[in-house]
Amino acid sequence: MERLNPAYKFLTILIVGIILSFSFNIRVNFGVFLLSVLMTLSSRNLEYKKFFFWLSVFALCALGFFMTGLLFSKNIDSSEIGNWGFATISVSSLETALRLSSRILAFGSLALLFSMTTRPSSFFHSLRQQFKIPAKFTYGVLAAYGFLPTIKNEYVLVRAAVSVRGVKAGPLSPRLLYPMLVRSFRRAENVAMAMESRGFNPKAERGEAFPVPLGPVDILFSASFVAAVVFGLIFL
Amino acid sequence: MTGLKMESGTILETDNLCFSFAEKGPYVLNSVCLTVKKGESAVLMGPSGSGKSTLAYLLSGLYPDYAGFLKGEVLCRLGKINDLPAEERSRIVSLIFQNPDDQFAMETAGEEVLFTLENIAFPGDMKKKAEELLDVAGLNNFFDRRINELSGGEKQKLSLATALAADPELLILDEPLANLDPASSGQLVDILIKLKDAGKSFLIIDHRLDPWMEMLSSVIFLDRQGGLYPRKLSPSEIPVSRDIFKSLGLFYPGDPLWPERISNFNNTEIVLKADNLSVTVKKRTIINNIDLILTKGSLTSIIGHNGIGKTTLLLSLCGLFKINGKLWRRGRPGLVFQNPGFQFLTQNIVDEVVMSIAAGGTCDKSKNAELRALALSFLQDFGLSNMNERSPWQLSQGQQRRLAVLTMLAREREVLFLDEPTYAQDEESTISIMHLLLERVDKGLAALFVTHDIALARAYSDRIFRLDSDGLKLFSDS
Repeated sequence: MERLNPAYKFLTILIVGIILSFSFNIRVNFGVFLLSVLMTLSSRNLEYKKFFFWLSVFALCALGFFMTGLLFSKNIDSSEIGNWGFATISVSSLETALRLSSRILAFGSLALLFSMTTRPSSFFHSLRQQFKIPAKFTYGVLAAYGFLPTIKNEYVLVRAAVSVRGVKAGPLSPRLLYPMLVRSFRRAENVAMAMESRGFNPKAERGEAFPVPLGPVDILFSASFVAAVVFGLIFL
Repeated sequence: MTGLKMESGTILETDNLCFSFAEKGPYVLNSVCLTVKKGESAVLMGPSGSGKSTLAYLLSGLYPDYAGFLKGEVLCRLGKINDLPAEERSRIVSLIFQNPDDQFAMETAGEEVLFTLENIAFPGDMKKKAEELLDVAGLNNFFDRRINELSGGEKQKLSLATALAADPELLILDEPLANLDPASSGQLVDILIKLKDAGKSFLIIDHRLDPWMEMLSSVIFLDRQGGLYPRKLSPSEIPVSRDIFKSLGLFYPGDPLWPERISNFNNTEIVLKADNLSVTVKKRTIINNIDLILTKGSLTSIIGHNGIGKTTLLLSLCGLFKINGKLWRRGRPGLVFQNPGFQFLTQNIVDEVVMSIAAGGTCDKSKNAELRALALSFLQDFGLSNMNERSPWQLSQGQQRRLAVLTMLAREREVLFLDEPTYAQDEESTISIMHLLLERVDKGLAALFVTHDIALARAYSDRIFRLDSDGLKLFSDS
C-alpha cells in the first residue's frame, strides 16, 4: 500500500467514498471496512499504535451511532425483537443502527487506509506530477505543513509568556492567538522570501527531484477496488 | 546605466538607493551607492535599526516586491535584479536569513537541498549533488534528518547548503551567528572561509567583527539615518578607525567588550533554591540534576550548547513546567523571553506597562491616572518615552526587548529570568539593557540570564554556570 501512487490512491479512495455515500448497504460497508483494514495492515512500516488508536476512536463513534440508531429510531410497523421497558427494539431499528455504524466504520477505515500509508510530501509531489496541480500550491501546502510542529511549540511558549505577565487567559484567548497570528504572518512571509531566494519560480520549468512512479499496479488497484464496491452494491 | 555596461568583476551595484516602507514615509535607506565585487567578503555593520537587513533584502531582489517603495536600482550583469526570474536571480545572489527557523519549506534536510536543485533545473544526478552539498556545509549523513529536529547551528548550515545548491556568485548572510553557541559559530565560520578560498563572495551582516577577521576583505558601515559611510574600510585600516566604530555605537574588534563589573556579591539572603530539579517531557529527560541557589542582589548567568535546554530550565524555574525535585522561591518571578513579542498583550506601550503594574493586584479604576503617570515615568527611565502611543509591535528589536524587561520590572520582584537578553543587539543597546538590569540588581533583584556570549557573561555576572546534560556546573576558564 505504501508503494502505491499517492495521487491515484487518493482518487480511488475518494471515488469509493462517494459511491458509498449514496448507498446504505450494510454488507458492502462492512466489506469495505474489512478490506481497508486488511490493506492497511499489509503495508510495511505501519505505525501500529497510531493505527489502532484511530481505529478504536472510529469504533467508539460507530458504537455510539449504533446505540442511538437502535434506541431512538422510528419504528415503522416491523416486528419487535425485544422490549425492556425503557426501549423497544425492532428489526427496522436494528437495521438503521447497523447502517449508521457500518458507514462510520467504512469511511473511517478508508481515511486511515490513505493517511496511515502515505507520506504527506510524496502525496503533494504526486498531485503535482500526476494531476498537474500547480507547484505554487503544492509547495505552499508543504511549507505550511512544516510549520505545524513550530506552531505547537510556540503555543506553549506564548501561554507561558502570558502567564508570567500575571494575566489569566483561556486556551483560545485572543491574548494568546494575537501574538501567534502576528508571528504566523511574519513566518509565512519569511518562508516565501526564502523560497524565492532559493530560486523558486512557480512559472518556470523545473527539474524533478522527487519522481513519484505510476505503474500498472496503481491502475489495477484503482480499477479493482472501485469494481469490487460496485459489484458489492449490485449483488450483495 | 544598464547592467550590461557594468565593470567586469562586479556582482552587484546600487545607484542612489532610497527605500521606505510607507509610500510617503521616512527613508529607511538613504542614497546608498554600493558595489560588491567578485571575491570580496565584506562585513556590513551598523546600529540596530539602521536598515542592514532591509539592504540585504533589496540586494537579494526580495524588496520592494515583498514590501516598501524603492527609488534607484540594484543592478547585476544581467540587468535589474528585481526583473530577473527567481531561478536566475538565485544564481547571482542568495540570502541566508537571520532566523534559522523560518527558511525551510520541506520536511527533511535532503529534500530541502533537492528543492533548490529542482528550482534551477539542475541537469545532473540531483540526489548525489544534494549529498555533496550537505557534506560541504558540514552535514554529513544528514540527508534523511527531519528539519524540525535540527539544532540552530545545524539549521544555519542547512540553509547554507540550500543556498549553495544554486551556486550563487554572492552569498548574503544576515547575522548568521546570532543564534549559535560559540562551538557552532566557529564551525560555520570555518566552512565559510573554505568557500571563500574556493572563490565565493560574501556580504555578512553582524554586530561583531571579531569572528570574521580571518576572511574579511572590507567593512561597510550604515549610519543611523540609513546612509552608507562614504567608503569601505580595508582590514589594514581597522586598527586606526576605532572612532568610526565608537561614533556609530558599534563593537570595536579586540576591545574589552565591557568594563569588568565590580561584584558586590555578598548578600546571603536566599530568594530561590532548587534541589535536584529535573524536567521530563514525553518520557525524555530534558534537564537533569539541577542544584541552584540565588541570593538577593546577585546577577548569575548560564551558558550551554544550542538545544541543551536552557529555555526549558528558565521556564521550569519560573514554575511554568511540571518539575521533579524541590523548588522554593520568594515571590513571583519574572521572565523575559528570547522573543519579546510573545509577551505583549496590548496595542499600546503605555497600556502595556499599566497592565503590568495593575497585575500586582492593586487594580483600582480610580487610580488609573496615577498608574498612567507611573507608567510614563518608567518608560522614560527605559528610554522609551518619546513613543508613548505606539504599539509594541512597531518598536525595533532592541526597543521591544527593553519594553519586555520593563513589563517585568514595573512591579517589585525578587527574581527575574532573562532568555538571551542581548540577542541581535548592537553595543549601545546591549549596554543599555544590561545597565537597566544592573541598577535593579544593585537594589536587591536576583537576576539570572541565559546567553551564548561568554564575554558578556564574564563582564556582568557574579557567577557563570554551564548547563550540561548532567546538570549545572560552575564555569570558570580563568
